[in-house]
Amino acid sequence: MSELIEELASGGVHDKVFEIARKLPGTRIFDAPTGYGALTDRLLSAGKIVTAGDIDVEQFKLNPDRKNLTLLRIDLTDPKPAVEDEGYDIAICVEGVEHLENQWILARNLCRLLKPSGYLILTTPNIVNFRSRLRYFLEGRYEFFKRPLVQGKSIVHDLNVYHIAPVSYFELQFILESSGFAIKELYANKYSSRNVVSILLRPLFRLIYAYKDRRDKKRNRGDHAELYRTIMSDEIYYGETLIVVAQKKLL
Amino acid sequence: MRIRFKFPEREQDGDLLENNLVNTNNVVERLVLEEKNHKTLLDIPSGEGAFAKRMVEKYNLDVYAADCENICKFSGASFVVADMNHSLPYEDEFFDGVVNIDGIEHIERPFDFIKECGRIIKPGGFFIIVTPNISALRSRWRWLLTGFHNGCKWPLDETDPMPLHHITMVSLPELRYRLAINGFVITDIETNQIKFISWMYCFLLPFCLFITYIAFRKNSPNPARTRINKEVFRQMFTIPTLFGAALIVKAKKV
Repeated sequence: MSELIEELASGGVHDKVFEIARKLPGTRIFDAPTGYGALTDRLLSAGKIVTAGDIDVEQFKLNPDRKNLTLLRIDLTDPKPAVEDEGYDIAICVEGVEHLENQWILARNLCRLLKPSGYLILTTPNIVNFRSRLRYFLEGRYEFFKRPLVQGKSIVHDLNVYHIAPVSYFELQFILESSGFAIKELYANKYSSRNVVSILLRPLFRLIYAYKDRRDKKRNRGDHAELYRTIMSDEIYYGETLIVVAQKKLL
Repeated sequence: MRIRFKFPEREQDGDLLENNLVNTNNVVERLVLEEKNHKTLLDIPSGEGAFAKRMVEKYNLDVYAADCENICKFSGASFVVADMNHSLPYEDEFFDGVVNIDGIEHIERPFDFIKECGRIIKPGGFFIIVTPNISALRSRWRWLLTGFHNGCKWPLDETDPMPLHHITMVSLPELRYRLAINGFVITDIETNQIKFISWMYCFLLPFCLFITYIAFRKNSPNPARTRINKEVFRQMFTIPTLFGAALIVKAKKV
C-alpha cells in the first residue's frame, strides 16, 4: 500500500496531485517519472489504468504484474520514446522537469501521448516564490537548487538526485503553451514562503507590478496584467512546489 | 501582444552587423588570441559573419561559421546551416576552439549543445560562451522584485515564437555545472562592459557576500563539494560576474 512506499516528492504533492487526477475525466493515466511507485499505487487503488514510466525502473517497488499496471523503462527526453501516441487521458509528471536536460522534448512527448483534450498534471519546485527570489538575490542560487553540483557522479545519479534545470512559472508556461497545452489551473502543495516578512512586503510587490503593467502598456510591450496578477497569487508568491494543470489544445 | 526586442548597442564591423552588445567581439577576440592553438575556429551562431570576418581578415585564421539560417554575408569562412539544438556537422575533435556569442540563451537544448561542442573541440581546446549575465547584482535585484532576469524582462509571447526569444537564461553556477559534466573547466570570466547603473548596486554587495559565505560554508559535507563550493564562490564574486552586462566565459576542454 502507498503508506509503505516512500514518496519521492515534497510533502503534500502526491496528495494534491492524486486529488486532482481523481476528479479529472478518463481512466488511462501515464505517470512518469514514477520513482518508487507511491503515486502509481494510489492511482491503481482508485481504479485507474496506469502506465508507470521511469528511466530507472529498478527502484520501482510495486509488483509489475499488478492488474491495470504497465511498467515502462522510458527516457522522457528521448525525442521518440516508445509510448503510444494519443493513448492517455491524463499525463502526470511529478518532480521530473527539474531533473531533466530537455524540458522542451519532455513537454512535446507528454503532449503527443495525450488524447485530444487530455490533461497534464506537472509539478516542479517554485523558484519564483518569495523565499527563492530572496535567495537568488543574496546567493545567486534558487531555493531547491542550493547544493553545488558535483560533476564526478554518473549521469544517472545526476538525473535521479540533482535538480539541474530550474524552471520558473513563466518559463514553464511558455514551454507548455508553445508545446500544445493551455494552462488551466495552478496549485501549490503548501505555502512555505508565507512568513511575516513576505506578508508585509506583499503590498510593495503589488505596487511594483502595477507600475510594471502600466509601463508595459505605455511602451507597447503588451498587456501583462493577468500574468502579474498570477505572479502575486498565493500559489506563486508563497507556494513551495507548483502544481500545474494543463489541457492539450485541439488543433 | 507582441514583444519588441531592442538592440540599442549593436556595432558595425564594416558592413556586417554584430548581433551582440558593445565590445563583446573585442573581448572574445582577445580571449581567442590568448590561446596558443587557435587556428581552427568555429563561430556559432555566426549571424551575418562579423566575428568570423574579423578573425579571418585580421589574423588569417581557419574559421568555420554556422547558424540556423543562412544570413552570413561573409564568404571567407566555411559556412554551413546548423541548428544548435541538434548534432553539429563536424568531425570529432576538429576545432581548436568554439565561440558561441549570444546563442545559448536562444536554444531549447543547451545541455546537448555543450555536449556536442565537447565532441568537436580538441583536447586542450577552448570554448567561449557569451550570454546575458543573470548572476550580476543588478539582475539579481530585478529577480527579487519582479521574478524576471535582465535580458528577459518581460514574459515571452508563445503565440509568436521567434528565434530572438531568450528562452534559456542560465546563471553562472548552472553554466559551470553544464560545462563541467562535459569535461570543461572554466578558466576566464569576463564581461563586455560595466554600465554605470550596475555600479549603483555595489551597496548590496556586503549583504550578498556575507549570506553567500555563510550558505556555502554550511554546504560542505564532502571534499569534492567543498572544493566546488570554493570555486563557485570565487567565480560568483568577480567584478565581471557581479557587475557585467554580458557574461563571457572561457572554458578549457580537459
